[in-house]
Amino acid sequence: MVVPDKKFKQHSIETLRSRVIVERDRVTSTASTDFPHNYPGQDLSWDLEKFKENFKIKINRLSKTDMEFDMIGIDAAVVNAFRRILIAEVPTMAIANVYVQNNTSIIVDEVLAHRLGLIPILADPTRFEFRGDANPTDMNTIVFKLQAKCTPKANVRPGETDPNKLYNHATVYSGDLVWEPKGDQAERFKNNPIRPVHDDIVIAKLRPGQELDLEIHCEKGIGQDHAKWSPVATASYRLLPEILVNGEITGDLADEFQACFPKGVVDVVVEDGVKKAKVVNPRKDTVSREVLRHPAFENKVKLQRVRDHFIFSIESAGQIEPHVLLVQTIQVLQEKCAMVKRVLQSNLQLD
Amino acid sequence: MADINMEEEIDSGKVTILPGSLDVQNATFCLADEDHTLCNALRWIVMKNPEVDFASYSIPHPSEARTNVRIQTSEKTTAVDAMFKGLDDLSDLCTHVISAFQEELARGEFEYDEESTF
Repeated sequence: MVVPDKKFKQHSIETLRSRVIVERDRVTSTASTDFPHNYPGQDLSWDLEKFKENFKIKINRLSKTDMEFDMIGIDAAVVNAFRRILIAEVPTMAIANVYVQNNTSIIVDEVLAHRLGLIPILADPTRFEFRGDANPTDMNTIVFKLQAKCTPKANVRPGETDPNKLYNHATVYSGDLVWEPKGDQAERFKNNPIRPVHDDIVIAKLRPGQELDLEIHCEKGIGQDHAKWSPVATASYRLLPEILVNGEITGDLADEFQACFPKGVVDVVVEDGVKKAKVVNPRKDTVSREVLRHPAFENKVKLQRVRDHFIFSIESAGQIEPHVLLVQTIQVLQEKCAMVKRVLQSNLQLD
Repeated sequence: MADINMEEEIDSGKVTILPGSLDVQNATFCLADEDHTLCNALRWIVMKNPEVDFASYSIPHPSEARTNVRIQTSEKTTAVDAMFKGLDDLSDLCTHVISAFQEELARGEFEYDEESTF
C-alpha cells in the first residue's frame, strides 16, 4: 500500500504565484498576484528590461489563414486585450450597402444583402478610411456590381436534371461579383485587385427568368459594429497544462494512468521489467481532469496550468494573414494608449 | 502600413476626471468608448507600479460605453503621473512584443504551410 504523502497536496507560495491549480471540482489560484509588495523579498514592479529578458515568443505553425504561437512571460490582462482586439477592433473591408436595381430571385432583398455582407473581401483596409457620415469616395468605398440573369442553356442533353447544366447562372457565386474601380483605385490596387477571398460562396440560386442586378458598396469597419468586419473566424488562447506525479506509477496502474489523458500525453515504458508511466507531452492534454476521478491516483497527481505561458491561436477569415493581424492588433492597443494619453494631456493643460 | 486617418481632432470627452474624485494622489478617470480590452491591461500595468496603492476599473452600466479607472497612489507620485506611466509602460510592452514576434517570424523556425487550411 502506498502511504499518501500529505505534503504533496500542499502548494508552495511560488506555486500559488505562478500556477493555476486544477482540482477535481474547482479551479483555484486563478488570479494574478504578482504585484509589488505581495511577496516578501520579491520586487514585482514593472521593469521593461526584466520583461525583455523573460518574454519569449515562439511560433509553432503558420499558414495563410492559421497561426499558433506561444507567448511566455506576459500577463493574461494583456493577452486577453490582444484576443479581444483581434476579434472586435482590427478593421477590415466588408459589404455595407447594397443598392438593388432588380431582384426577382426567391431570396428577399434584406436576406440577400445580409448574405453579401458576410462575404470576406480581399482589400487592404490600411489603404482606406472609415466613411463615417461622409459621402462615398474612392478613399472610403469599394464598389462591386452583381449582374446575373438566369437563362436556359442551349444543347442540353435530353433528360438532364442538374440545374447548373440546364441553366446559365442557376447558382450565383461570390466569384460573380465584379469590382468596379473608382477614382485611382485601378492604379492603387493593380498589383492586388480587389476581390472576394473565396470565389465559391453561394449567394443565391436562380431559375429561368429570374434576375439579380445589384450595386454593392464595401466600407471599412470593425467587428464591434458587426461580426462581418471581424478579421478572424476566432482567436483564442489557453494556458500550458502541467501534470505533476508524486513518486512513480507502475504496473497496470500505468496503463490506467495513460488512458486518463489524450494520446501522446503519457508514455508507458518498461524499465527493469516493470511498466512505468511517464508524462511526456502535457501540452497535448485537454485538462479533462479524468485522472482526478480515479481513487487510485489520489495524492499521486496534481494538475496545474502555467499562469504566464499562453498558447495562442489565430484563425483568420482570409482577408489578412494571421502574422500581419497580430502586429496590427498590438498597434491598435498602442494607439489606444496614445489616444488616452494625448487627450488627458490636452485636458489637463486646459484646466 | 500606417492608417491614413492619423490626424484626427482631439475629442476632449474621451477622457475626463470625475468631479470631486481628484486630489493629488487619488483620481477616477472616465474613459469613453473603452471597455475591458484597454482597462484591464491598463489596471494590471498600473498595479505593477510600486507607488500605486490601489488601481481598479469598473463599467458602471453595460449600456453606457464608458469605464471608470480608479487610481490611488502613495505620496511619492500622483494619480495622473501613475496613469501616464501605465500608458507608457503598456506601450513599451507592446513595442517589445511586436519586435520579438518579428524576430521570431524572421527566424522562420516553424511549420509553414503556403496553402490555407480550409
